[in-house]
Amino acid sequence: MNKTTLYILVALARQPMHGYAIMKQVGEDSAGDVALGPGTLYGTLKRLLEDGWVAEVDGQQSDRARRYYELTDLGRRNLGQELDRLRAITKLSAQLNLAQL
Amino acid sequence: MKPAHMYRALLRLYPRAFQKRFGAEMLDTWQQLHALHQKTKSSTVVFWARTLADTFANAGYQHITKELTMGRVVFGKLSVESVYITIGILCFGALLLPVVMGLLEWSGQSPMLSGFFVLALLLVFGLIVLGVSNVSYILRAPHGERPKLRRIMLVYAAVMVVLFFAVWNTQDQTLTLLALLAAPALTLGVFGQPFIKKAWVATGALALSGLLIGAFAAALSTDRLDDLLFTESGLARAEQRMCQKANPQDAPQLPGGCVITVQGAKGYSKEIQ
Repeated sequence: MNKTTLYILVALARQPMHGYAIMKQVGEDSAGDVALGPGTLYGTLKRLLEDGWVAEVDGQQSDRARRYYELTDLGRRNLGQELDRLRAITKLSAQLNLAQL
Repeated sequence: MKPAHMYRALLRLYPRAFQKRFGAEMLDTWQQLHALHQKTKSSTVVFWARTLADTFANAGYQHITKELTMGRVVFGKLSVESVYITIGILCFGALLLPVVMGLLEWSGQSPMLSGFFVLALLLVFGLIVLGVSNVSYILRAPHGERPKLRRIMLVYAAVMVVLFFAVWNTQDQTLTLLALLAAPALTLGVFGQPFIKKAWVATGALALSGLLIGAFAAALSTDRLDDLLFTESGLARAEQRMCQKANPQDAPQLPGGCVITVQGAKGYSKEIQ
Protein backbone atom coordinates (compact mmCIF):
# COMPACT_ATOMS: atom_id res chain seq x y z
CA MET A 1 0.00 0.00 0.00
CA ASN A 2 1.51 3.34 -0.99
CA LYS A 3 1.59 6.48 1.13
CA THR A 4 -1.21 8.26 -0.76
CA THR A 5 -3.60 5.33 -0.41
CA LEU A 6 -2.80 4.96 3.27
CA TYR A 7 -3.49 8.64 4.03
CA ILE A 8 -6.75 8.58 2.03
CA LEU A 9 -7.95 5.50 3.94
CA VAL A 10 -6.98 7.09 7.26
CA ALA A 11 -8.92 10.25 6.33
CA LEU A 12 -12.02 8.23 5.40
CA ALA A 13 -11.77 6.14 8.57
CA ARG A 14 -12.99 9.23 10.50
CA GLN A 15 -16.18 9.90 8.56
CA PRO A 16 -17.57 9.96 4.99
CA MET A 17 -15.99 12.81 3.00
CA HIS A 18 -16.08 14.38 -0.46
CA GLY A 19 -13.00 14.84 -2.63
CA TYR A 20 -11.87 18.28 -1.48
CA ALA A 21 -12.37 17.36 2.21
CA ILE A 22 -10.22 14.24 1.72
CA MET A 23 -7.55 16.37 0.06
CA LYS A 24 -7.50 18.87 2.93
CA GLN A 25 -7.49 16.11 5.58
CA VAL A 26 -4.59 14.29 3.90
CA GLY A 27 -2.64 17.58 3.75
CA GLU A 28 -3.20 18.13 7.49
CA ASP A 29 -2.50 14.51 8.52
CA SER A 30 0.77 14.42 6.61
CA ALA A 31 1.77 17.94 7.71
CA GLY A 32 1.93 19.00 4.08
CA ASP A 33 4.10 16.07 3.05
CA VAL A 34 1.41 14.58 0.76
CA ALA A 35 -0.10 17.23 -1.54
CA LEU A 36 -2.78 15.52 -3.60
CA GLY A 37 -3.92 16.85 -6.95
CA PRO A 38 -7.40 16.00 -8.26
CA GLY A 39 -5.92 13.47 -10.72
CA THR A 40 -4.05 11.54 -8.04
CA LEU A 41 -6.99 11.68 -5.62
CA TYR A 42 -9.66 10.46 -8.04
CA GLY A 43 -7.31 7.94 -9.68
CA THR A 44 -6.73 6.38 -6.25
CA LEU A 45 -10.43 6.57 -5.34
CA LYS A 46 -11.31 4.81 -8.60
CA ARG A 47 -9.00 1.92 -7.72
CA LEU A 48 -10.31 1.75 -4.14
CA LEU A 49 -13.91 1.74 -5.41
CA GLU A 50 -13.09 -1.07 -7.86
CA ASP A 51 -11.40 -3.11 -5.12
CA GLY A 52 -14.36 -2.58 -2.79
CA TRP A 53 -12.35 -0.80 -0.08
CA VAL A 54 -14.34 2.42 -0.46
CA ALA A 55 -17.99 2.98 -1.38
CA GLU A 56 -20.00 5.98 -2.44
CA VAL A 57 -22.45 7.22 0.19
CA ASP A 58 -26.07 7.24 -0.90
CA GLY A 59 -28.05 10.17 0.34
CA GLN A 60 -29.10 13.75 -0.14
CA GLN A 61 -25.72 15.18 0.77
CA SER A 62 -24.18 13.52 -2.32
CA ASP A 63 -24.66 15.15 -5.72
CA ARG A 64 -22.94 14.63 -9.07
CA ALA A 65 -20.24 17.24 -8.46
CA ARG A 66 -19.70 16.47 -4.79
CA ARG A 67 -20.02 12.81 -3.93
CA TYR A 68 -19.24 11.48 -0.48
CA TYR A 69 -17.14 8.39 0.05
CA GLU A 70 -16.80 6.05 3.02
CA LEU A 71 -14.70 3.05 4.03
CA THR A 72 -16.29 -0.37 3.58
CA ASP A 73 -15.78 -3.22 6.06
CA LEU A 74 -13.15 -4.67 3.72
CA GLY A 75 -11.36 -1.31 3.52
CA ARG A 76 -11.47 -0.92 7.29
CA ARG A 77 -10.08 -4.45 7.78
CA ASN A 78 -7.26 -3.89 5.27
CA LEU A 79 -6.39 -0.52 6.79
CA GLY A 80 -6.25 -2.18 10.23
CA GLN A 81 -3.85 -4.85 8.91
CA GLU A 82 -1.63 -2.21 7.30
CA LEU A 83 -1.52 -0.18 10.51
CA ASP A 84 -0.67 -3.34 12.51
CA ARG A 85 2.20 -3.98 10.12
CA LEU A 86 3.46 -0.39 10.52
CA ARG A 87 3.18 -0.68 14.31
CA ALA A 88 5.20 -3.92 14.25
CA ILE A 89 7.93 -2.28 12.14
CA THR A 90 8.00 0.75 14.42
CA LYS A 91 8.29 -1.54 17.47
CA LEU A 92 11.08 -3.52 15.83
CA SER A 93 13.00 -0.39 14.90
CA ALA A 94 12.70 0.84 18.49
CA GLN A 95 14.01 -2.51 19.78
CA LEU A 96 16.94 -2.35 17.39
CA ASN A 97 17.55 1.25 18.38
CA LEU A 98 17.22 2.47 14.79
CA ALA A 99 15.60 5.75 15.72
CA GLN A 100 18.78 7.72 15.03
CA LEU A 101 18.92 6.58 11.38
CA MET B 1 -10.32 31.93 -21.18
CA LYS B 2 -11.38 31.41 -17.57
CA PRO B 3 -9.19 29.11 -15.44
CA ALA B 4 -12.09 26.68 -14.91
CA HIS B 5 -12.50 26.39 -18.69
CA MET B 6 -8.79 25.65 -19.01
CA TYR B 7 -9.02 22.89 -16.42
CA ARG B 8 -12.15 21.53 -18.10
CA ALA B 9 -10.14 21.34 -21.33
CA LEU B 10 -7.34 19.50 -19.52
CA LEU B 11 -9.85 16.96 -18.21
CA ARG B 12 -10.40 15.87 -21.81
CA LEU B 13 -6.99 14.20 -21.64
CA TYR B 14 -8.44 11.49 -19.39
CA PRO B 15 -10.15 8.39 -20.86
CA ARG B 16 -13.79 9.05 -21.68
CA ALA B 17 -15.18 6.67 -19.04
CA PHE B 18 -13.01 8.25 -16.34
CA GLN B 19 -14.13 11.76 -17.40
CA LYS B 20 -17.76 10.72 -17.28
CA ARG B 21 -17.49 9.21 -13.80
CA PHE B 22 -15.15 11.68 -12.08
CA GLY B 23 -14.97 14.76 -14.36
CA ALA B 24 -17.60 16.87 -12.55
CA GLU B 25 -16.12 16.05 -9.13
CA MET B 26 -12.58 16.79 -10.28
CA LEU B 27 -13.63 20.15 -11.67
CA ASP B 28 -15.44 21.01 -8.43
CA THR B 29 -12.42 19.96 -6.34
CA TRP B 30 -10.04 21.89 -8.57
CA GLN B 31 -12.24 25.04 -8.35
CA GLN B 32 -12.05 24.88 -4.57
CA LEU B 33 -8.27 24.47 -4.77
CA HIS B 34 -8.12 27.43 -7.16
CA ALA B 35 -10.25 29.57 -4.82
CA LEU B 36 -7.86 28.73 -1.98
CA HIS B 37 -4.89 29.61 -4.19
CA GLN B 38 -6.41 33.02 -5.00
CA LYS B 39 -7.21 33.63 -1.36
CA THR B 40 -3.68 32.80 -0.18
CA LYS B 41 -2.10 34.57 -3.18
CA SER B 42 0.40 31.75 -3.69
CA SER B 43 2.45 31.56 -6.86
CA THR B 44 0.29 31.15 -9.98
CA VAL B 45 3.14 29.52 -11.86
CA VAL B 46 3.60 26.88 -9.16
CA PHE B 47 -0.16 26.28 -8.96
CA TRP B 48 -0.47 25.69 -12.71
CA ALA B 49 2.72 23.65 -12.86
CA ARG B 50 1.25 21.33 -10.20
CA THR B 51 -2.07 21.17 -12.04
CA LEU B 52 -0.37 20.28 -15.33
CA ALA B 53 1.93 17.70 -13.75
CA ASP B 54 -1.00 16.10 -11.92
CA THR B 55 -3.11 15.99 -15.08
CA PHE B 56 -0.45 14.66 -17.46
CA ALA B 57 0.83 12.00 -15.06
CA ASN B 58 -2.58 10.74 -14.03
CA ALA B 59 -4.28 10.97 -17.45
CA GLY B 60 -1.36 8.94 -18.86
CA TYR B 61 -1.67 6.41 -16.06
CA GLN B 62 -5.42 6.06 -16.59
CA HIS B 63 -4.88 5.43 -20.31
CA ILE B 64 -2.20 2.82 -19.59
CA THR B 65 -4.32 0.99 -17.02
CA LYS B 66 -7.26 1.11 -19.43
CA GLU B 67 -5.13 -0.55 -22.14
CA LEU B 68 -3.74 -2.98 -19.61
CA THR B 69 -7.25 -4.01 -18.61
CA MET B 70 -7.95 -4.77 -22.27
CA GLY B 71 -4.65 -6.67 -22.46
CA ARG B 72 -5.57 -8.69 -19.40
CA VAL B 73 -8.80 -9.83 -21.02
CA VAL B 74 -6.74 -11.26 -23.87
CA PHE B 75 -3.55 -12.39 -22.15
CA GLY B 76 -4.60 -13.05 -18.56
CA LYS B 77 -3.09 -11.25 -15.61
CA LEU B 78 0.37 -10.43 -16.88
CA SER B 79 2.86 -8.00 -15.47
CA VAL B 80 2.75 -4.51 -16.94
CA GLU B 81 6.29 -4.90 -18.27
CA SER B 82 5.64 -8.14 -20.11
CA VAL B 83 2.64 -6.77 -22.00
CA TYR B 84 4.41 -3.60 -23.10
CA ILE B 85 7.75 -5.25 -23.88
CA THR B 86 6.00 -7.82 -26.07
CA ILE B 87 3.83 -5.27 -27.85
CA GLY B 88 6.92 -3.08 -28.32
CA ILE B 89 8.97 -5.91 -29.78
CA LEU B 90 6.20 -6.95 -32.14
CA CYS B 91 5.51 -3.38 -33.31
CA PHE B 92 9.19 -2.45 -33.59
CA GLY B 93 9.89 -5.76 -35.32
CA ALA B 94 7.04 -5.22 -37.75
CA LEU B 95 8.49 -1.81 -38.65
CA LEU B 96 11.98 -3.26 -38.93
CA LEU B 97 10.93 -6.25 -40.99
CA PRO B 98 10.86 -4.57 -44.42
CA VAL B 99 14.26 -2.98 -43.74
CA VAL B 100 15.83 -6.32 -42.75
CA MET B 101 14.27 -8.08 -45.72
CA GLY B 102 15.51 -5.36 -48.08
CA LEU B 103 19.04 -5.59 -46.70
CA LEU B 104 19.04 -9.37 -47.01
CA GLU B 105 17.80 -9.16 -50.58
CA TRP B 106 20.39 -6.50 -51.41
CA SER B 107 23.27 -8.45 -49.87
CA GLY B 108 22.15 -11.70 -51.44
CA GLN B 109 23.06 -13.48 -48.22
CA SER B 110 19.80 -15.25 -47.59
CA PRO B 111 17.63 -15.42 -50.67
CA MET B 112 15.33 -18.03 -49.12
CA LEU B 113 14.48 -16.12 -45.98
CA SER B 114 10.76 -15.51 -46.28
CA GLY B 115 8.93 -12.70 -44.51
CA PHE B 116 6.79 -15.15 -42.63
CA PHE B 117 9.84 -16.96 -41.27
CA VAL B 118 11.21 -13.70 -39.87
CA LEU B 119 7.78 -12.94 -38.42
CA ALA B 120 7.69 -16.40 -36.81
CA LEU B 121 11.14 -15.77 -35.30
CA LEU B 122 9.89 -12.45 -34.01
CA LEU B 123 6.87 -14.12 -32.43
CA VAL B 124 9.04 -16.76 -30.77
CA PHE B 125 11.37 -14.02 -29.49
CA GLY B 126 8.36 -12.09 -28.15
CA LEU B 127 7.11 -15.21 -26.37
CA ILE B 128 10.52 -15.79 -24.79
CA VAL B 129 10.54 -12.21 -23.47
CA LEU B 130 6.99 -12.73 -22.25
CA GLY B 131 8.10 -15.87 -20.40
CA VAL B 132 11.15 -14.22 -18.86
CA SER B 133 9.24 -11.15 -17.68
CA ASN B 134 6.58 -13.41 -16.20
CA VAL B 135 9.25 -15.11 -14.12
CA SER B 136 9.81 -11.72 -12.52
CA TYR B 137 6.07 -11.53 -11.91
CA ILE B 138 6.15 -14.94 -10.22
CA LEU B 139 9.07 -13.87 -8.03
CA ARG B 140 6.99 -10.92 -6.89
CA ALA B 141 3.88 -13.06 -6.28
CA PRO B 142 2.68 -13.70 -2.71
CA HIS B 143 4.64 -16.50 -0.98
CA GLY B 144 1.63 -18.82 -0.80
CA GLU B 145 1.24 -18.84 -4.59
CA ARG B 146 4.91 -19.30 -5.47
CA PRO B 147 5.32 -23.13 -5.25
CA LYS B 148 2.33 -23.64 -7.54
CA LEU B 149 3.60 -21.01 -9.97
CA ARG B 150 7.12 -22.52 -9.97
CA ARG B 151 5.72 -25.96 -10.85
CA ILE B 152 3.73 -24.43 -13.69
CA MET B 153 6.83 -22.58 -14.94
CA LEU B 154 8.97 -25.76 -14.82
CA VAL B 155 6.44 -27.74 -16.85
CA TYR B 156 6.06 -24.82 -19.25
CA ALA B 157 9.84 -24.46 -19.71
CA ALA B 158 10.27 -28.22 -20.26
CA VAL B 159 7.55 -28.35 -22.90
CA MET B 160 8.91 -25.23 -24.63
CA VAL B 161 12.40 -26.81 -24.81
CA VAL B 162 10.93 -29.97 -26.36
CA LEU B 163 8.95 -27.89 -28.87
CA PHE B 164 12.03 -25.83 -29.72
CA PHE B 165 14.15 -28.92 -30.46
CA ALA B 166 11.26 -30.45 -32.40
CA VAL B 167 11.11 -27.38 -34.66
CA TRP B 168 14.88 -27.17 -34.97
CA ASN B 169 15.58 -30.80 -35.86
CA THR B 170 12.59 -32.17 -37.63
CA GLN B 171 11.98 -32.23 -41.35
CA ASP B 172 8.42 -33.30 -40.68
CA GLN B 173 6.31 -30.30 -41.47
CA THR B 174 3.23 -31.55 -39.61
CA LEU B 175 5.21 -31.83 -36.39
CA THR B 176 6.77 -28.43 -36.96
CA LEU B 177 3.40 -26.88 -37.64
CA LEU B 178 1.97 -28.45 -34.50
CA ALA B 179 4.91 -27.16 -32.46
CA LEU B 180 4.55 -23.65 -33.92
CA LEU B 181 0.88 -23.66 -33.04
CA ALA B 182 1.39 -25.21 -29.63
CA ALA B 183 4.02 -22.70 -28.42
CA PRO B 184 1.87 -19.53 -28.38
CA ALA B 185 -1.25 -21.47 -27.35
CA LEU B 186 0.64 -22.97 -24.45
CA THR B 187 2.04 -19.59 -23.42
CA LEU B 188 -1.41 -18.05 -23.44
CA GLY B 189 -2.87 -21.00 -21.55
CA VAL B 190 -0.16 -21.07 -18.91
CA PHE B 191 0.01 -17.34 -18.29
CA GLY B 192 -3.68 -16.69 -18.77
CA GLN B 193 -5.30 -19.46 -16.80
CA PRO B 194 -3.69 -19.56 -13.35
CA PHE B 195 -3.76 -15.86 -12.56
CA ILE B 196 -7.01 -14.65 -14.02
CA LYS B 197 -10.05 -14.61 -11.76
CA LYS B 198 -12.51 -15.40 -14.51
CA ALA B 199 -11.00 -18.59 -15.92
CA TRP B 200 -13.54 -18.73 -18.72
CA VAL B 201 -12.13 -15.49 -20.19
CA ALA B 202 -8.66 -17.02 -20.44
CA THR B 203 -10.12 -20.26 -21.79
CA GLY B 204 -12.12 -18.32 -24.38
CA ALA B 205 -9.06 -16.28 -25.36
CA LEU B 206 -7.05 -19.47 -25.66
CA ALA B 207 -9.69 -21.16 -27.82
CA LEU B 208 -10.05 -18.05 -29.99
CA SER B 209 -6.30 -17.65 -30.45
CA GLY B 210 -6.05 -21.35 -31.30
CA LEU B 211 -8.76 -20.94 -33.93
CA LEU B 212 -7.13 -17.81 -35.36
CA ILE B 213 -3.69 -19.38 -35.48
CA GLY B 214 -5.16 -22.52 -37.03
CA ALA B 215 -7.03 -20.50 -39.65
CA PHE B 216 -3.90 -18.49 -40.39
CA ALA B 217 -1.84 -21.65 -40.83
CA ALA B 218 -4.51 -23.21 -43.00
CA ALA B 219 -4.59 -20.12 -45.19
CA LEU B 220 -0.92 -20.65 -45.96
CA SER B 221 -0.37 -23.22 -48.62
CA THR B 222 1.82 -26.26 -47.98
CA ASP B 223 4.33 -24.81 -50.46
CA ARG B 224 4.68 -21.67 -48.42
CA LEU B 225 5.18 -23.65 -45.23
CA ASP B 226 7.81 -25.74 -46.96
CA ASP B 227 9.65 -22.57 -47.93
CA LEU B 228 9.58 -21.00 -44.56
CA LEU B 229 10.47 -24.15 -42.64
CA PHE B 230 13.30 -25.16 -45.00
CA THR B 231 12.05 -28.70 -45.58
CA GLU B 232 13.47 -30.75 -48.46
CA SER B 233 10.54 -30.04 -50.77
CA GLY B 234 10.68 -26.36 -49.88
CA LEU B 235 14.35 -26.19 -50.78
CA ALA B 236 13.73 -27.97 -54.08
CA ARG B 237 11.06 -25.45 -54.99
CA ALA B 238 13.27 -22.53 -54.02
CA GLU B 239 16.08 -23.97 -56.14
CA GLN B 240 13.69 -24.26 -59.04
CA ARG B 241 12.61 -20.63 -58.67
CA MET B 242 16.22 -19.45 -58.56
CA CYS B 243 17.08 -21.47 -61.62
CA GLN B 244 14.15 -19.92 -63.43
CA LYS B 245 15.34 -16.49 -62.44
CA ALA B 246 18.93 -17.20 -63.53
CA ASN B 247 18.07 -18.99 -66.75
CA PRO B 248 14.55 -18.19 -67.89
CA GLN B 249 15.04 -20.13 -71.14
CA ASP B 250 15.68 -23.36 -69.21
CA ALA B 251 12.59 -23.05 -67.06
CA PRO B 252 10.54 -25.74 -68.83
CA GLN B 253 13.20 -28.39 -68.18
CA LEU B 254 13.58 -27.61 -64.49
CA PRO B 255 14.72 -28.95 -62.11
CA GLY B 256 18.22 -29.78 -63.30
CA GLY B 257 18.53 -27.12 -65.99
CA CYS B 258 21.18 -24.96 -64.34
CA VAL B 259 23.94 -24.91 -61.74
CA ILE B 260 23.29 -22.91 -58.64
CA THR B 261 24.20 -22.96 -54.97
CA VAL B 262 21.45 -22.54 -52.42
CA GLN B 263 22.19 -21.31 -48.93
CA GLY B 264 19.55 -21.90 -46.24
CA ALA B 265 19.25 -20.23 -42.86
CA LYS B 266 20.31 -23.41 -41.01
CA GLY B 267 23.58 -23.48 -42.93
CA TYR B 268 22.04 -25.86 -45.45
CA SER B 269 23.95 -25.59 -48.70
CA LYS B 270 23.33 -27.48 -51.89
CA GLU B 271 24.64 -27.35 -55.46
CA ILE B 272 22.31 -28.53 -58.19
CA GLN B 273 23.01 -29.24 -61.84
